[in-house]
Amino acid sequence: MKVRYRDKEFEFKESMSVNKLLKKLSLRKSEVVVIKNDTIVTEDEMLRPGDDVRIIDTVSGG
Amino acid sequence: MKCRICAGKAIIGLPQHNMALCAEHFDNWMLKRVSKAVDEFKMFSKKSNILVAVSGGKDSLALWDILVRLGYNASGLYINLGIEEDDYSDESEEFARSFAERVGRKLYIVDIKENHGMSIPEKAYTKRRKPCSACGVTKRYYMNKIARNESFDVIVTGHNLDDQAAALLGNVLYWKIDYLAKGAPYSPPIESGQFGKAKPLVFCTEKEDAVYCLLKGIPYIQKECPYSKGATSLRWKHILNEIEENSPGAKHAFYFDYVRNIDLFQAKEKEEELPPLTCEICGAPSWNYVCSFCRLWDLDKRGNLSCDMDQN
Repeated sequence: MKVRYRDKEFEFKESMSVNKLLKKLSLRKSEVVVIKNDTIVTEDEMLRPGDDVRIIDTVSGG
Repeated sequence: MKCRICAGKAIIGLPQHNMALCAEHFDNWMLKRVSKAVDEFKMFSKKSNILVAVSGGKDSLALWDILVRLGYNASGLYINLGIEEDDYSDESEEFARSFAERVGRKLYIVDIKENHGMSIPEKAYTKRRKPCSACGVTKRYYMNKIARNESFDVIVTGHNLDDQAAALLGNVLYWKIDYLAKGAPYSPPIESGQFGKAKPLVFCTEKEDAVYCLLKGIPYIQKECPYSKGATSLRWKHILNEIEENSPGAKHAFYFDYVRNIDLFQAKEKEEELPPLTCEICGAPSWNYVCSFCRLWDLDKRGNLSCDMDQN
């Protein structure tokens, strides 16, 4: 699966849950929105090879 | 996860409420969260003339959209700070303009560079101040000015639960009593004919605001202000999110238990309160003879820039 986050792109061959993906990328589930194939998904969603995944930051400050 | 209401596929987990919701029921829930804040803190009514301070980001655009959908009379105000890095200010303005067109509501636009000959970062540099401090003073001044001149009843901002809890944590860590006295979700008008200040997203988190915009197809600026990198408020937010993930509901309890006891800080602050003055230059309420905005922008008594403005 292809995962886009900020300006980076990651490629993962194995299936995994959103939770596991966020752990791999050291991201908090409360601080991002995960979009799989143009649909917002929850942390228990399974991501599989071929999925297009986008992660959007939600924390802003200043 | 399944939606608690319809058992359909959930799009967001809300562990602090021990539930998850599908897109349709989350949308409905967001409207209720804003209505709850407006009613509980008596922020404004359907008759009120509301000015929404819009940054082009997810929070303020979500708020404006929800207020319009709930039937409130809400106009917008965008302040272009002239931040050129990454085309930040102009792009943000475009998001604000597009949204105003989409909902068919009036958008007031203030262009700082056009009004004062230089941007916020340039002015901050000449004054040897941090851009964020010059930005805060300038935005407050124009929000108040537009609200006063255009007879708005209330200024609303997109501050959410994360913003309020992070500010509270910072103020508690350093016991800033004067700020702790002013952290309520609603500040009523100081006197009759003035305007109040409200934060109707106070029951919503940043993530919920972002999900709302994504679901409703509201485009917003996703890049961060270049001057917010390393901001302490971001540090407080990350700490609170870590606590929240281990103890869902902790953030809500932290902020709203403080709000319930805010009079403890307000009583202390009142003893130290000074009578407000009127700025000799712009006539705005001020704590000094010349307000912080006129000092920052070196305005003279006609409201023009002083000739020595670049020599600071």
